[in-house]
Amino acid sequence: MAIDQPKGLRTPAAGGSPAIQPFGQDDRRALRALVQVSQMVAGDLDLADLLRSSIHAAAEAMNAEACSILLRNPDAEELRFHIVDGPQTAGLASVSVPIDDHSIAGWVAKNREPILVPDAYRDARFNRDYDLKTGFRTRSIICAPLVSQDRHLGVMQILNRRDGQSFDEYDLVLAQAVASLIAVAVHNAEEHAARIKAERLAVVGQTIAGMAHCVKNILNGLRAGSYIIDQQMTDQTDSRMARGWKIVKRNMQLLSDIVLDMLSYSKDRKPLYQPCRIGNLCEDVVGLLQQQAADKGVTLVTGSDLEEVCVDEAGLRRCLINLVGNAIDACGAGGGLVKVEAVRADISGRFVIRVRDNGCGMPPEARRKIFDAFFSTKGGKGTGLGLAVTKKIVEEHGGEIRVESAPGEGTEFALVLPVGPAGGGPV
Amino acid sequence: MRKALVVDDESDAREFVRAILEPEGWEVFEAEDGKVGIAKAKEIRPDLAVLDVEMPNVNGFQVFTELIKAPETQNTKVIMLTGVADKLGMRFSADDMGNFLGKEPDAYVEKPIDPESFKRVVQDVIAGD
Repeated sequence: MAIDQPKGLRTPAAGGSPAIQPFGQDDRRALRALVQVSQMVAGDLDLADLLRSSIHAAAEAMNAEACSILLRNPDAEELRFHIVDGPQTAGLASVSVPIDDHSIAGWVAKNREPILVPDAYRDARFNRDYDLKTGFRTRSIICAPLVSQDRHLGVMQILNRRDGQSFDEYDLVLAQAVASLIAVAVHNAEEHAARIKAERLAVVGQTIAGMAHCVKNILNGLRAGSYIIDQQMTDQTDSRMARGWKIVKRNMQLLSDIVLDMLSYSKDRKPLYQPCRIGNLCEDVVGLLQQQAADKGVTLVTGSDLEEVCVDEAGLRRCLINLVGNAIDACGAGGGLVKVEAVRADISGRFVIRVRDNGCGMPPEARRKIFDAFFSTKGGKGTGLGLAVTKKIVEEHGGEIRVESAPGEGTEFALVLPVGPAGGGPV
Repeated sequence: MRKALVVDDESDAREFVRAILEPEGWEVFEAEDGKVGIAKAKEIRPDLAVLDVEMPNVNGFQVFTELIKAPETQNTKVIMLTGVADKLGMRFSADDMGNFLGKEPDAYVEKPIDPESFKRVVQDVIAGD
């Protein structure tokens, strides 16, 4: 036969022409279901409605009692019931299923192969817990993976033929066709959501960048006022006013750091290269954060043997404020030590700024994500922008950022930077 | 006593520069816009001009251009205060920078100003005399 047909495909009774085979009733029903699902995928239904209607159409075509779609949770190796259709399905919504050999859905997700299970209770992979949870009695199962453009999105399950028979190969082929269409729909919906999110972030970024000038003037005004007050407060170190002022200043600094990080992150910029003595810069930053460190019992030390280099001083200041601030936060109460040192690198034309703490360190999972925007281990206290901005500024200099860390052993960040802009001196 | 002229449309910013420079022994003059700044600079002949880049009407680069052209101010050292990240930032094109007769401002300082770093920049600019 020229056309591959799945084994067991129901064909008209023998005696018909082998070249032209008229559709049987099952074929018509299957075709109708496929057309319905294709139209739904091409239409503009909300994803949940689309999934519900399309799997329902498929289940009807297969004369099935129940069906479900489980989508893969991208943050964990597990599936989650997304759509459940049929009797006694209460209690399954949002239940998670590990991707392993201990359930039919888990096995299909792991192996990315469709399967037909004629008698569930005789299959070692079948997990009876889900029946126990719902009171449903599973007999026969078809389960197909949802794969689109090599991305594995989840699985689709069809349970129990209403006529009491087991599903057959014909049903499996139909299920695979429907699963492919559903996978495309899920993939499209995910891409669409990602695009919308990216566009929204771009608009937020442009808005923030557009406000940069105005916001920096306000920050400059706040700093002006506090500098002038400081000049007058030198003789009142312990008054209530001085203590209140310390609180205002600390919070102004935090606010200013967050705003400047947002501005740096939202805008592509070329470094404003100027001659800079890194040792002085490190001392400035250590001085700025001295009080914050002292409040936590953390000691800050700094040293440098560098000559003058040519960098964007304001940008590197942001990097160091972020790194030293994080290092202080990583140190537990009492006994913390943060070292900031700047030295020539082994590679010619480069220097290194190292920020090392003896704090809690990071597990590898956290280490992999630290440069992602909005990733933070500090809960509500962190914006998740500090290290993303630091990396961006370092890379704008043509440099690189390295990190070494292990839980309980502290963390070292190293900024490896060129001593000046590519192609020459100050611009 | 060395004279410094601060040209900025933000009075808080002028006050900030005054608060940093006066204790360092500078006599500080202020101008609230570019036009007044150019006139005042020719009159007092400052050793140092601190110019906000982004001001309405006459911006900081235009003031700088006038200062290097006028005989009274051509030796005045110039520090530009920028709100935007880089000197060719969002609102200043290469054309804005093109009329500088081959001269560049002596330094750029980004707002918000860090007082200690600003003092160092001033020292360096003046020491470069």
